[in-house]
Amino acid sequence: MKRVRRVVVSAAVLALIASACGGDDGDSSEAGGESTESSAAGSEEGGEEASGDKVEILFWDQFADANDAMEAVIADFEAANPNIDVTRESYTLETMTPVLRTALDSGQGPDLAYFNLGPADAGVLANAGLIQPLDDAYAQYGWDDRIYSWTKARSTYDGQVYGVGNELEFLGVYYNTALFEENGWAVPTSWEDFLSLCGTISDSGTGIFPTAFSNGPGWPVFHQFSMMMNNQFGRDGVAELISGDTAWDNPDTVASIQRFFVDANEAGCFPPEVNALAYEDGNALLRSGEAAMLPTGTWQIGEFSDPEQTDQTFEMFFLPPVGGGEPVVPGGLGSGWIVSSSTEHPDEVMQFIDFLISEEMGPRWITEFSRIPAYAVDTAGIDTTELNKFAIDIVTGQADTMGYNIDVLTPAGFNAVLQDGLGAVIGGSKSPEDLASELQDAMDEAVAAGEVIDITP
Amino acid sequence: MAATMSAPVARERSAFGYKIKGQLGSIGFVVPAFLVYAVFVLWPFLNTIYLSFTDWDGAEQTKNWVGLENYRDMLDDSAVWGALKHNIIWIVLGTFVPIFISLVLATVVWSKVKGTTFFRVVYFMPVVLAPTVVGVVWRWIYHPLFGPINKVLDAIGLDSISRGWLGDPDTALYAILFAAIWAYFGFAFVILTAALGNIDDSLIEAATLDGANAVQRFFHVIIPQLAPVLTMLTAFTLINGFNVFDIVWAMTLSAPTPDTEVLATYVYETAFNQSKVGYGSAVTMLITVLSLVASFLVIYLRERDSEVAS
Repeated sequence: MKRVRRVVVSAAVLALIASACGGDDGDSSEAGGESTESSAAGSEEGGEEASGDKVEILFWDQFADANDAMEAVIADFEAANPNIDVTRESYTLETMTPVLRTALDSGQGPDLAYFNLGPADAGVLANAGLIQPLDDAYAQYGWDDRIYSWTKARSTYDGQVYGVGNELEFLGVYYNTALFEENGWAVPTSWEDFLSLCGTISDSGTGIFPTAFSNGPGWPVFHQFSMMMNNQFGRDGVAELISGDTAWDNPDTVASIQRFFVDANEAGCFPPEVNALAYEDGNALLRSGEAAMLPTGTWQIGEFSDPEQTDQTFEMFFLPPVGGGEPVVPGGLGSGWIVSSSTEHPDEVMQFIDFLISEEMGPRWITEFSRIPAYAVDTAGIDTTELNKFAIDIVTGQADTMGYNIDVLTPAGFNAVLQDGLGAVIGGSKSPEDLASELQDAMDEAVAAGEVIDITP
Repeated sequence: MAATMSAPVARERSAFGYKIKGQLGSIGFVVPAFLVYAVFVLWPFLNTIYLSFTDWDGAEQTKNWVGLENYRDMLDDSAVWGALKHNIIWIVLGTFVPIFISLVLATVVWSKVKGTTFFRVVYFMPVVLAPTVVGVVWRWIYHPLFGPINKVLDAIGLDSISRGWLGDPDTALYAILFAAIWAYFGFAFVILTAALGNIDDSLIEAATLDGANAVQRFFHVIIPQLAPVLTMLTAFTLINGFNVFDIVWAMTLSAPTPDTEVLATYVYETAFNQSKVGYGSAVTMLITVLSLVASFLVIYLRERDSEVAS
């Protein structure tokens, strides 16, 4: 009896284990992602056809900040394309980066993803064959005539284009218009004016920080570095640096690093302990009126224009060059659309992309997502903030002559050296000369490893 | 004769058969757990060893064998040595400080002070917090502009000491370590409190009668009886010190600097941010070897000392 009981219990345990290790249950939720069912057609993993020849595509995005807006976009697309269901999962860039690679490699990933199109992100996936070239789709849907041509170049690897740019961004300096007006501060027209303004604000007795620059996460330094380098070298000069054609350890690089990360710090431009302040802390200082300026990018327009987040009013100027003159505005392509190599429904995916970059979507990207689309949009008649209109006009007018967001185009190893190095320069433990030398070493390594892209015209 | 001779043989065979059959049920329960262990621990471990000999970027379909190249690169990588230095600091301070604090507190609480249960609960509470939560809370405590530490220092005229604790290269690692010790010592406290409950009171009484004072009783009677538990705690904390990741990651906003980088965060940076999975795997092997060697040394030295003592 004891033996029989033992056998029965063992069998029951094994049966339980076997059932727990059973096959795919069709759950499309991924770790770290927020799954949203956009239709009533069920939630099976992308690719299975339900009854009525409906096709389901799985879509990963980064629009958690505009969740309702993206759901509405998907609903409109599905209404116009009743044979297609879109299942959406939203991630942050930090969680999507490692997960997307693994998911695509396993064949279980999304059909379409919204991802950084730079060489360190989409470039890696393209080289591994995990995402498919879109040259045919560009021709078929006429995307060449729609989006800015340089955005196509930014997502081209080995002569084939792998992404459709969706989000443009550029770098500038937000400033609090009310504070400037009340205190008689003028928008600087030269680098020297900028330093002088910092001193004026510091000495004003208002307790206001001249800038809300914060470098806790380490990457904000990329933006100020890009601003200084573009003003120093110009668009073509920066292109040559990024492409490895010009050495990084030159006096102009040293001077650019010295000016912002040493001289501006000593002039009192930064809040105290800038390396310990989170990026959100800096944004909060500006939003609350405790800081007068903030050099960062256009991705913050939504936050600084939202009356629920701030009662202050902001405009933007561009960090001026030494001696004055026309600044070179660093701009670039943020994220865009990439398509899995293993998608079973490429036609439907391309239809969705075509919808997402349609003329009708242009104003929605601006008003509902606070993002600048990668194609010209007529802002007349659009009900949006002055900051948004300013950004659109800048991009429209300077799309082909903007400078470069350096870190978007340089290899990951180079960026790691740049990020740590600039933080150390701010902290006073590294000299600009030493950093420039380390950047050259990092670039040499990247060139040897074949990680450098050529963006020279 | 034959019947007599066959009986003991039959009993032996039967006993042996019974031994195997009797263990079938036990084996049946162990095998599933081993299978889970093999799939989720052993296989990834063996795979990591393999990857450490490749230049895989985490995405390519093929993994190119590069032999010992990753290990040679690791020897020349100053970032690895810098991170290892931080791990050693973490292990030394992060092992002995919380164990010492918890040993003292456990001994005091064990001596039946009032509020024993209250103190046990309070000291253990930080342990139940997720490392990420600990990181977020302490980031706020250390905040250079709004954090209570700097506010208090400024209020009492010590504003020369207040600083960006997590941004200052001289204090950042220790600030994170302090938060980690705060979150961990309660665990050691609970373990030691339980161990103290098994102390032989008669030995303490005997020592008291022999004229030993409290300090002498503590070091010569109590500590020796706690030795196996202390060895286990030390080894456990040592291994955690080599593997530390989450609290460092949380408190540096996912961007450790050369002043706060530890081996595990460097593995993440190289493997996932720089697409050098092969190289990251090699550094992971370094962590594994160091953890094993350190644990072995601790246990070996402890066992040798106990043999000498006996």
